[in-house]
Amino acid sequence: MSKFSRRDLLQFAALGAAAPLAADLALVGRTAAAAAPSGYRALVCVFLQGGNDANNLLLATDADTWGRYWAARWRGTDPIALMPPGTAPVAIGSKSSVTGRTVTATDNPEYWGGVLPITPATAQAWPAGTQPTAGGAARTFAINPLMPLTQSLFSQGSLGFLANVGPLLSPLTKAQYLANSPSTPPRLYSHSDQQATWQSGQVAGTGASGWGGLIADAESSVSPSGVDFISITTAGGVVYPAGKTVNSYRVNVTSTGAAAQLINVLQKTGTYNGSPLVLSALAQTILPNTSMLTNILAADYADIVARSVQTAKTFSTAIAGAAGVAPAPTAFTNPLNGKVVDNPLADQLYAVATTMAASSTLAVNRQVFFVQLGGFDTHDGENSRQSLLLAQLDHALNYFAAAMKTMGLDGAVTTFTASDFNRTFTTNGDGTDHAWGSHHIVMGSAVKGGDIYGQYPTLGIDTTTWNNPNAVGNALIPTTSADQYLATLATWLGVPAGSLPAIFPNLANFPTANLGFMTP
Amino acid sequence: MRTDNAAGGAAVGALAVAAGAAVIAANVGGPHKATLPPNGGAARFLTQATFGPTDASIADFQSGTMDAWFANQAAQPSLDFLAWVNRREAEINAADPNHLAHATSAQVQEAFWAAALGGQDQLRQRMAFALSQIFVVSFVGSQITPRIAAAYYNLLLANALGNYRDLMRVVTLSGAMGMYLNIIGNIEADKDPTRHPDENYAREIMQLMSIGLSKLNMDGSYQTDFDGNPIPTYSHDDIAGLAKVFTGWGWSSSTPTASTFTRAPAGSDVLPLIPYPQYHSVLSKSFLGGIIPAYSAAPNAAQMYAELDTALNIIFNHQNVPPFVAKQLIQRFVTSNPSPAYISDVAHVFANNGQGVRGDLAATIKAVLTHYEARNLQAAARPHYGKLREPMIRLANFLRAFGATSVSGNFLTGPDLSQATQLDQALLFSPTVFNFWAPSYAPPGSRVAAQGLRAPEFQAADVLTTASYVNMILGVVQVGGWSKDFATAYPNELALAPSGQLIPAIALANRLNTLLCGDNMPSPLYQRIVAVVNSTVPPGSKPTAAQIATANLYRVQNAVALVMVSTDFLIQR
Repeated sequence: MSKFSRRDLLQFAALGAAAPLAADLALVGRTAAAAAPSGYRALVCVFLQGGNDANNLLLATDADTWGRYWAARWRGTDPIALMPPGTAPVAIGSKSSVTGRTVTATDNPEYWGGVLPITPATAQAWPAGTQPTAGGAARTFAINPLMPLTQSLFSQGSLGFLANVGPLLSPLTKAQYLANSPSTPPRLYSHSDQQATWQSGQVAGTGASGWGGLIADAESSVSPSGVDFISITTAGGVVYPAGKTVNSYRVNVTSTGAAAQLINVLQKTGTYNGSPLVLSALAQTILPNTSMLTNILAADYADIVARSVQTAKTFSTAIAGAAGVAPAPTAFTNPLNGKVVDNPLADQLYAVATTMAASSTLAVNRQVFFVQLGGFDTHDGENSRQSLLLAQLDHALNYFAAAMKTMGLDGAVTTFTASDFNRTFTTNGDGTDHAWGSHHIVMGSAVKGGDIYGQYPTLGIDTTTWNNPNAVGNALIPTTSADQYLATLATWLGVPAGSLPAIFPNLANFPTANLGFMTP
Repeated sequence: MRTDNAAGGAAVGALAVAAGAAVIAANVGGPHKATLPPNGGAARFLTQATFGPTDASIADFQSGTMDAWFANQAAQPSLDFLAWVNRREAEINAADPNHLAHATSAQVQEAFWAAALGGQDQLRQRMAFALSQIFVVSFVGSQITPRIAAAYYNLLLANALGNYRDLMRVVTLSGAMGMYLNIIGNIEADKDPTRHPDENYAREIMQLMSIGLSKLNMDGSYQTDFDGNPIPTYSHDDIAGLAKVFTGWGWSSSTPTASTFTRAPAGSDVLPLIPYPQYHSVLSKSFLGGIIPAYSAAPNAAQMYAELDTALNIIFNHQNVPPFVAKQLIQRFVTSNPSPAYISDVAHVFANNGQGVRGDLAATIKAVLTHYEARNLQAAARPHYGKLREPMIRLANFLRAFGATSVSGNFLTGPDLSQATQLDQALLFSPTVFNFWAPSYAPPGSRVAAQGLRAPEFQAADVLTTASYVNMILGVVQVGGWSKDFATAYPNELALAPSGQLIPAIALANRLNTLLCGDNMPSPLYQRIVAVVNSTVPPGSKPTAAQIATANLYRVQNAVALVMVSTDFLIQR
């Protein structure tokens, strides 16, 4: 039986004709289970919404690259270059020996001190166009100074980086890009389209379903019992968690983790508001028989409400049964003003951990989660805006890594970042604009951490005498495709190789479908 | 539609069909010439065109012709959002003993509800609301102040029934958009190859506010290349070219300096941006097939204004603007899936209002609302017709229908309605520049998606928000609003009861049919309301006057609750 006919059947099942499918599903389940890893596994997508400036996330610190970085970013009304590794933080009112500038605010890069060195396990090759540091020393790297916890996780081997990943139709050189043959992905640099691309796994996707949801579709054929809770999101209206047959489940992020929203009036019985009929009439109205609805928008809306009602009790009960299992996040201190403030990303990951704690009650063996941190579209004010966001990311990742260890899930849960796109290498004065290839984080005990995967690119803008083979203008041409990155994660989760082409249609155009950063 | 118990409703439907048929038969040159029967379809029309019908607005609509209604609407004054925020700022600050309290985004919400509920300029208000979802500016992810937001909404109101080209200009030069999409502080990089002008506004004014990503036919369909693929409207080179136009615009000042360029002097936060020629690109700027020539010397302010107008004209005159705007306005007011003919008819009016004027928004919205596909009940009976009412409009419909008022006069809105556990929508609270929902959104796995159709507002409908809406609105129905300050006691519905008696079920059902369902309520819901109302009785065989009064309030609450959670209300048809 092909995956497509299976999917069609599941669609049919979703419309209320499940019974004839039992035999087929059992067959499919055995087939898929033969290759799939046993035990619970989950992927957590941390979406950095707006396009994270990864040029200030993961940096190459060899002299040649740093010189071009500094030239491009130490300029404008509010320069966005980070300080070189080893630079001590400079207090407000003191003068930086690096920039010669007196620090006036906590969002001056001098205030943060130098970028934090990391040493990848595998030496990165010197890319074309880059002058190796004298003596043939290995290429050196560092991360943003506001991410010390991430630095620790990297050195502990619990976290790794993917370098220069982005949407591609097939491998692409600069010459090919300039000749527009083979084609470049459509609608690069557009927020909505590149969010859809990253979340759908399809560079020309319609945006109707996401690769998290498609994984959930595949998984639902293996363990249909928990189908409502395979794909979980804390954000509304996003593509990633939506399958073709599996609907995503949006949890309410609360102070105690995650909750379902029960419809209050449906919990009441008897005579209400002076009428013995009103409660049953309201129930019939809230949950109409969709076969009686002639308008398809009405029927589609009624389906969502029905799903909400059907799932809410199951979810609430399961969460209550696992109360206290997932640890709550520690307080987050804003590094710019020293105040303890909310960290919305940590709150969402708390909801994820709470939901994972209930996974056995929810009868799910595989889950995909989607959480989102907004505000990365730093066209201006990048120093103050991105620094806070990366500090929140740092705090949230560290919280979640510890929570997974506490819950014994650190080997079963892999967390990874995605974003609309990278941002321009040069500053526009106090910020950056939309670009392309970017760097990303993968985290978990199953990650072969402490390393950088893929070729860290040559950085810099072309001059009359120097040509960057990895960049067009201000944007990096990806050297690893987003499909490869995501397919490696999907494979670890247990998606059979035969199902990958349907989820990532361009994957076959690349030399490998598995980048090797996961322990199988 | 309902045909029992409503001779009037049936007659209205028949008249509307007849009128629509006449339009088809005549195949008139412009759909804006279509008319309604003078007394027919008032409630349904006002459901589409306003924040909801009321007794007064129905009477007003029925008192004259369609043309007179549109003309009268355009003449109505609008609430001054900035004056509202300024007044509230003064009140709030004075009420704080330490004078540390200030107006917040909540005061902008107050102004919205005051205008949506009490404003006589309903069409203009609805239009401004729709435009705020095309020219998106948001409190979320920005440093927009209440004053700047209020000034921006005033601009949308002032131009809502004006010309789209004027709207593009005032939006471009507004402090709100200047902050939200980084026009303010954008500096030329003519001689600096390592820097480039900010591209944010240049990209979004084309993608979201005027032409979109792919070339369109007048009926909204994609133009395609030889391989059948959509043809992009612009490339990154066009964005880079246009981005240079939006350099060197900063806050208004009588003595512009580097400081006033990015920091608004007192009071200028609500004034149009001004040229700062020293920061403006002097290079040639080419985009969308147009070229603005380079300057031989630094431009003066007048040249910068002229250049801006040239640039906006290039965008405004792009072939995509008429169908792009037409489709989105139809989606906001009437139906998520207009026919190609509907889009084309409205787009042609946008392109030329009959007097050679392009971009006439009053003519365009009239074309939207008077079109056969908007007015005819046979069109509305098709399975894919209509749209999910936006959460804010659902609430506005309720509050207007039952005459909610504010005791303080300040329309104190209580909880933050933008939360997913409340309405999941508030004015100028879109999560991103992409609005609360995309025009092309189709819910995964839905009937709509399976048929290749769209349902934009469903992007905000999920297991959390749909349940939250039921909880929220039933609470509102029970208390008549959401606070003691801002509610209704249902006076007109309670008045349906003869003295000392219970409200007749049919009278109440008829009234809700008109006010909440545009006289188009399907029979099952109507019958369910009648049954529930009849079942809602006072205790005992000889109830007191107080018990009868309570039962009547229950009758109203129960009936209204049924409508507000029904897909017959939620899907506006």
